[in-house]
Amino acid sequence: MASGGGMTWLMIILIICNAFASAAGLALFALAIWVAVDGYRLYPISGVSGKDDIFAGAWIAIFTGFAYFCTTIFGIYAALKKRRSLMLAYLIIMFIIFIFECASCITAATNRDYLVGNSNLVKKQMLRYYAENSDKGAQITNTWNRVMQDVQCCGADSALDWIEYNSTFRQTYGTTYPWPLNCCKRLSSFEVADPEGCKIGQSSTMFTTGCFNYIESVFSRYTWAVSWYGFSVQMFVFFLLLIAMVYYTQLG
Amino acid sequence: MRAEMLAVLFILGGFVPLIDADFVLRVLTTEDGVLTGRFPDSLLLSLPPCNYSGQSVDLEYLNVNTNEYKTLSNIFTVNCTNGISTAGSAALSRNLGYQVTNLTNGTEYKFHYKIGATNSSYVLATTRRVFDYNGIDEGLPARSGAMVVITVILSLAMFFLLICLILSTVMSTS
Repeated sequence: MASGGGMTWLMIILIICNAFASAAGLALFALAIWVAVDGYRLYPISGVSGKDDIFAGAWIAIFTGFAYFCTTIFGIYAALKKRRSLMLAYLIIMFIIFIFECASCITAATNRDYLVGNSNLVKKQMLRYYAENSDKGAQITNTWNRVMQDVQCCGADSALDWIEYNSTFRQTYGTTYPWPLNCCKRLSSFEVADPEGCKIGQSSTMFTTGCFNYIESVFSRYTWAVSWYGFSVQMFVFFLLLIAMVYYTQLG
Repeated sequence: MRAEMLAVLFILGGFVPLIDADFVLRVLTTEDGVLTGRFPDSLLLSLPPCNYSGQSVDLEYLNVNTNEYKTLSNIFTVNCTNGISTAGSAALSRNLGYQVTNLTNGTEYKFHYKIGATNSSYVLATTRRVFDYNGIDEGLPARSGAMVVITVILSLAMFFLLICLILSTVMSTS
């Protein structure tokens, strides 16, 4: 229907954009694998609270990223072949993948706000599950012990969380130690440097800053990877699909 | 004229607790190198100055709610030359302060030292209240801008694409 020259240009644009989208889809696939692998090992904090949809979004994005990669390569083939049936199949499959990827972006962004919008959920979880004798308790205790030592922090907002609130730790171990020993500075031999100083809260012997900033930054990093990068891929695919629909209507 | 007289009276009145006292007693704060001086069941009090070196110290305190007096005799000896104390408390062995233990949480106390005949000033201090962690509200704090933008724009894009897909199928068959 359209002039031959115009159609050729449209086909070339479509092929180039599809190639770019396949690269973007592969990058989304890789990024979502990075989130799902959870190199910072903070999954228990979201898993125990039941709000782990950042990782669910990452799993969906693994699927959609790879599916975008494969389907856009098929789209290059369909554009070259100039067959309406192939282009229609391409459009329908891309639209289904688009819907799934939208779900992933929205879920990840929303769940981040539930989990680390402020420090309340993380603090309450820490006070309830740290030192608790259960499976959830073991996961939270191990995670917090590692975070407190690696990041050199104590408590959610500060070490005062341990004395301002009742906690499973205080009920189990009494008030001899106001906070866990992982809040204390250690020597390279892993012994506590100064247990007596740590007990009374001497600032030079323990970590006084809170861990919530670190936890929030890690979850935000995961979320921005899945939701904002996914969003930018979606915007590109949106315009790609509009061009493909124009090409489809001009075919045959 | 009257306002100035009132101001002078207030300033002089501020010194009343010290009139009978020879040195100041206070609760430790972050400036003294500790995280906090107030715990739920103990308090960190400052030490007497070095001119009382070698003398043993008594502590008297009053539970303001129950009006009970308690005296702890010979709790430590003032020692300014090195950091080792006789009472064995962690705060003392670092010359930081004295930790009064076995207090109830959320209660106001009035402390003062007695060294022989001399008294320190009085200090009013409250132990920390312990809150129940179940009272922490862990609901959604607020919707962030990211959540709103992504949801709105992607929902509109999805809807628009669906319409265009249907239109392009219909247009090409007609």
